[in-house]
Amino acid sequence: MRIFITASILFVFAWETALAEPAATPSTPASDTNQPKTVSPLPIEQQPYRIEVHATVDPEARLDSSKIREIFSRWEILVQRFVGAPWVLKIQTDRSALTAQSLDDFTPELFNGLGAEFDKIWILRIGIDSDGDGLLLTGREYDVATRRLGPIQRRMSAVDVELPRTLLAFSIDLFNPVAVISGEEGGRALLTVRGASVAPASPLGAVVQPGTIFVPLRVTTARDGSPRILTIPYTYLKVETIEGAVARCEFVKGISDPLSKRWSRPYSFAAVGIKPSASPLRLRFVSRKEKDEIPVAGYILTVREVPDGNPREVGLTDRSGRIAVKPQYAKSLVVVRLIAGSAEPLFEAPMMPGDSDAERKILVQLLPLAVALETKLDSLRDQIVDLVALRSRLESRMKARLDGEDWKGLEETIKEFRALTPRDVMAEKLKSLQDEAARQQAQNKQPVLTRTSKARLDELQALIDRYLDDDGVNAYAEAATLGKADAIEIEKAKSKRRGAVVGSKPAIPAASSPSAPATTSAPQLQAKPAAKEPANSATATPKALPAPKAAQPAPKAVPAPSPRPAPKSNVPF
Amino acid sequence: MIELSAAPAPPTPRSSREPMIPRDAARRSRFWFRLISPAISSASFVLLGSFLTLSHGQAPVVPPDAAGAANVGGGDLLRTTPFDRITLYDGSVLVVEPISPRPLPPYDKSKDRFVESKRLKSQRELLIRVGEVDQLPNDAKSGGSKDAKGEKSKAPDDDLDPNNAIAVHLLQAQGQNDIRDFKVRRALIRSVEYFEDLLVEESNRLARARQFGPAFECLLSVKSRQPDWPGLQEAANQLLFAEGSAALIDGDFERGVRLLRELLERKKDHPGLINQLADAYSQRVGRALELGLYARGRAILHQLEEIAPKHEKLLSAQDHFVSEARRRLDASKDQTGAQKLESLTEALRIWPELSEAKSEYERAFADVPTLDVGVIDVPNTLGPWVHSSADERITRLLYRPLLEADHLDAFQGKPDQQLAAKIETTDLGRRLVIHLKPEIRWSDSSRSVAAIDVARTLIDRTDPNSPRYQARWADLLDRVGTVDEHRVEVQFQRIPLHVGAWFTGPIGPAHASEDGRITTANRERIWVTNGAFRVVASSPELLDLRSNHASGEATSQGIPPRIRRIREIRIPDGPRATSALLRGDISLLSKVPATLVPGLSNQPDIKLGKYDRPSLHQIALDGRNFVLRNRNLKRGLSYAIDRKGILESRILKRASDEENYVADGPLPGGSYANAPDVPPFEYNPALAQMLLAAARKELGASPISLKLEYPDRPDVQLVVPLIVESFRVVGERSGFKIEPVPRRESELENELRSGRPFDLAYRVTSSSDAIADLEKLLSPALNVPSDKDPLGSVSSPRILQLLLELERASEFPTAKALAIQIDRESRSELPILPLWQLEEFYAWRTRLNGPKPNTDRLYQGVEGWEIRPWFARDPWMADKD
Repeated sequence: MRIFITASILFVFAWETALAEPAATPSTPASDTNQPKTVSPLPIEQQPYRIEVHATVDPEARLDSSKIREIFSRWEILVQRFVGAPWVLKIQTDRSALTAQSLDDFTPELFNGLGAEFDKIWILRIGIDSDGDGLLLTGREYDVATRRLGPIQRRMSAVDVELPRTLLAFSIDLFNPVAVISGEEGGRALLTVRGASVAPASPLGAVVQPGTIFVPLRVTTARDGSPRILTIPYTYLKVETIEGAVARCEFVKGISDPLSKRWSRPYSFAAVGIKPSASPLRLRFVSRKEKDEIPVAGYILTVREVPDGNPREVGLTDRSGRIAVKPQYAKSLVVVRLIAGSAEPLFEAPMMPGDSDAERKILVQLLPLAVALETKLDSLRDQIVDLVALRSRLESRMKARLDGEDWKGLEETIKEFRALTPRDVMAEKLKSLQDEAARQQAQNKQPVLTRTSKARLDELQALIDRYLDDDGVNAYAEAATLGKADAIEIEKAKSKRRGAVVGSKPAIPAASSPSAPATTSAPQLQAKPAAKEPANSATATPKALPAPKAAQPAPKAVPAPSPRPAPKSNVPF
Repeated sequence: MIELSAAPAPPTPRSSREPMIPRDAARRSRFWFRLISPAISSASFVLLGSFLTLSHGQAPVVPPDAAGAANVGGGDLLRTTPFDRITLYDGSVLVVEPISPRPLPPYDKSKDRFVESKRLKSQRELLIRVGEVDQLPNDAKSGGSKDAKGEKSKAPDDDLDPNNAIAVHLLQAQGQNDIRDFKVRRALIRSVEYFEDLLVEESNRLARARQFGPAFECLLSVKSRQPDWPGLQEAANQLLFAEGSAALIDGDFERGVRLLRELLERKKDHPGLINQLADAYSQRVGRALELGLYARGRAILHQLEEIAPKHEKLLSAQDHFVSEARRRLDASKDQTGAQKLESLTEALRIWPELSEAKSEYERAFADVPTLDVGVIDVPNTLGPWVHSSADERITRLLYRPLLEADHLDAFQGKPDQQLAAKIETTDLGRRLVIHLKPEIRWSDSSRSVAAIDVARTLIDRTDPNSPRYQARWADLLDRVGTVDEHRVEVQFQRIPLHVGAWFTGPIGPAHASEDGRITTANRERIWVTNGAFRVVASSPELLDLRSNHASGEATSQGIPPRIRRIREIRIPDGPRATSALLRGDISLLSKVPATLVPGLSNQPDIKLGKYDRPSLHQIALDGRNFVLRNRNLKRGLSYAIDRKGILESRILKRASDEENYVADGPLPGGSYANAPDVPPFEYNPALAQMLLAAARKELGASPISLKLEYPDRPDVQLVVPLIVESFRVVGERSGFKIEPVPRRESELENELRSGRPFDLAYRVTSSSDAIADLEKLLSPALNVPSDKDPLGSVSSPRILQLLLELERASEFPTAKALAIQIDRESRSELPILPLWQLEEFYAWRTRLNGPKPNTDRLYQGVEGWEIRPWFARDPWMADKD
């Protein structure tokens, strides 16, 4: 056992030193890179990347050997001019085992035994574009230290004259730096990037820049002592700042503790850069039911760009739970979210577009009860919103009736208002749904009251509390009662006065009589025609209610109905 | 009594204090007179005016409403206060209230002269005012003689012979004393123009001006006043003739003939009437013959015969008919089989009384017993698939299924019309071995149906490029293999629920192309079928099927099919289809409009049958249009439709009942998976308006324009305008626009089921099994290849997830619970807009023996149906016999 552990530790040590193993001198001229020489060990950040390029040109590209030589020669010149010391290229144009294979069929095992003296192997193909008239560059990178195969990159070149420059841009796309995760600080990962201290010929050649994305790796051993390099799932490191050779990275993670130290075997952390590619992102979502895998079919997948992009739908999972997100749907890291129903997230994690050509199977836990609850809540919300809209419309009408002192109309509208579903019914429905969900959760040991459904419940409760109170209509009812009583009283006073005139009593001029309060309100006895309901009552918003007009000048003090609180005008219409 | 001289007198200057004639009244009077009676000279008018001025200081005033109205138009005369016009011998014209009696009795001059000779009178006597003996009019005072004044007390007004004088009442009062009533001696009256005569005259004028409506009103007014007025009947006859002739010239045959027939009833010998009618009828008959409306033509001919039995035009038209029928008969002599039968049928349709054709027809019919069926639509593209309701109806005739239905008998091979002799299931239903019946041959006689045909059909259903592709099947199937020539092994990826339902579809020939057709030596592409019938001709309007056993080959029961030929004729218009059934042009009608069911049930020669499954009317929403995934929009559209109102007012024309009612979800009311206690959809236009406004806001405030495609079925054509109007009304403020697009039903359904994107589509569906049909009911495009985004077509993700979960359910209780859940949640999620469900009827003539009163499919048991040769005879000819 002890021997086994010692072997494991030795492997991890060896891996770390592999990253920091002697490299070609940065100042080695390009012409000498064909024969890299071993020199004294250098720190990792000072080591350049020794890259072997296996390039093949499709005969259909109609490029002869001298032209090819010229193109690669000019490319190397451009690399020296713009990248410089960080890269040490060796171009291999002879046919090999790697050139015969399709890029899609590459596996890391294919590279075993290759690249002992190189850090990276690039497979580069120049062919013709089947869709257009230009040349198509395709290629993949294999990182020897991490044994990781990069995504397939593609780039078009319109004419062969442009090919060297296109090759430069394409090689920058292909290149992914490697780093050692040297620690964490303030919730940030610290990466020592290989070659970061090697001065590039231009900013274009910098091996790492703010915004560069890394995939963290756990370097460990298997039980049998064989080396294992594990990709830490759903975790990316995004470079925020660079201080010397150390890049300070933000975690973009879909799991809680990606660099967990709870690992039974010796380990260390490394990272390898990643760039978006033109490959589709193939995902397959499944859930488990007993022993069977059930495809998660018909669920919505959304993506949003990191850190705060707007989520947008990219499709639905098919009957087998698969979804292929089209290439170039994003230019950088995105957060992928699988949604059940209309809002319940089943899966959420960051991903790099074109990260891998292989289909990624993702196991998710379905939440049927939670989704069913949310559907019911949606239905209840519809009912409440309808009710709020109807109440708002009737309130607008009541206000119009009140303004027009049309007491009968006001009473009828109040009656109509009272006939609507009362607030308590809605509140009771909501409560019963909540209680039922809690009961189901306790009984089935399944999440029902998820964060989303709880938010929905709270939202509905707020909706009920905010919009379904009866203060407004009560005030209108009170105003109607008082207004009507006033009208009757005034009518009585008027008829009494009329009777007095008939009884040959001297008519007292109303204006001169201090004891004739009715005269001031007499003109109001003739009810004004009910003000028309606002034409756009569909979009009308309830406003604070004014005191009834008739009530204000009335002999008896009439309390004005309390105005509705202002925020209630935010009806969702 | 006062006698006033009405003799022409020198004009007297008007008194300034007593204007004789108001200026306006005078002007109107002049105008009226100029118009109504050009013969009256202005001089006469002046004289009359002068006379009245002299006698009363007043003029005979034409009433204001009558002034100038008489000749402007009949309408004006109709609105005028009735009046008569009396012209005296001295040229004076009096406009008076209608006199009485009307018309005046004959006047005996000699008797009058005798009486008058004995009566004291003024020399200038003209008008005699009634009563008020002590008051003299001004003119009498000024212009009358002293003798006359002196004699007034001696000459009471009652000494006038009532037969020789008439009392008149001027329309406008005269003078200060409002004198209106006078008596006028008949001897002084030259003529009386009665108001009725004026109306008749006006009617004649209007008729000449082709204003028949007002002309008729004039006569009607005369009739209401004096029903027996002399000349009224003649005028009415003239008017009828004129109007009827004009209508015929204008091409309005029905109206023209109706009017002339009315005239015929009134006066048979009206000059030119018979010829006019004969002309019109013969033209109409010729036109009907051209259009192939033979029964209609004969009916017109029969009417003409009643009017003019021996008229040359009648005889000519009859000859035309008979010769046309005979031409068909002659043509049939060189024909055989169905062609011969068609010619003979046509000949008898043209002239059923062609006796020599009758026996020929019966013989030809016995060779090819033909069933003519009226259908809403024939299949759009025929093949071994089911893409529309028309395909559902036809494919069973052309292609036998592996299993007739998903039941145990079928698994044991008991039904004759299925291909499977037996199905063995193993591995809990995940593996099947299908044994085929050996004796069933393809219609091209190339070979028997074999395992390879079944295997190819089942595999084609998993090929996205095949028109037979079914995504659900592709997801379910693991592999298909042939064990031997008559055994097929099918392996599923999971245990399917209702496995038999997958094998009730048509099985096509493996040696034909995907559409089940082969190319013959003469470069024709014919369908190869294995059912009871084969396709002979297919067009957008007609489908001709012929029995596969016509050559004497026996069925499995050894009995040749009674019906050898089925012709489906597309008649999308409900009333027209019903008329065709009543006429006998078709013997079976696939769908009877709900409103016509009571009428047909009373017909003695017609029987009605009812389909087991009600039709479900709905509006499908395509979720691939992001607008239609908006919840507020869907809810707004749902609230906008007055389902109950439309159903009862347009479709049923009565109150809804237990069979026909507003739907509460995608499933029919009686289904085991219909969720209970789901309230029906409400109609609330105010809420709909608000929701559409909210939807527009959510969708970026740009106007929303959608297309509503609908099948041109009669019941749908009735309601779509109302639905569109409802959407327009509620969406007007939100800029919501909807464009209705009529389509042929099978074409539309075919396109929808092949995944063509749409916005809104009116669909009429039905369901036999809720679990199997839910997917079809909720989205027409869910079963198409993935490149058409089938899953996106469901406008509610929640319903989609439940549907896909239902697909994978392998136990009935689980599936049923899911189906109920889908039905319930569809109420709020609105993947479709359910409308209503209706019971469906079909009808047949009693010459056809076999259809059942209740059926699942129209042609169920058609192999055993019998049909008698029969053609429709005209009822008047049948009555003669």
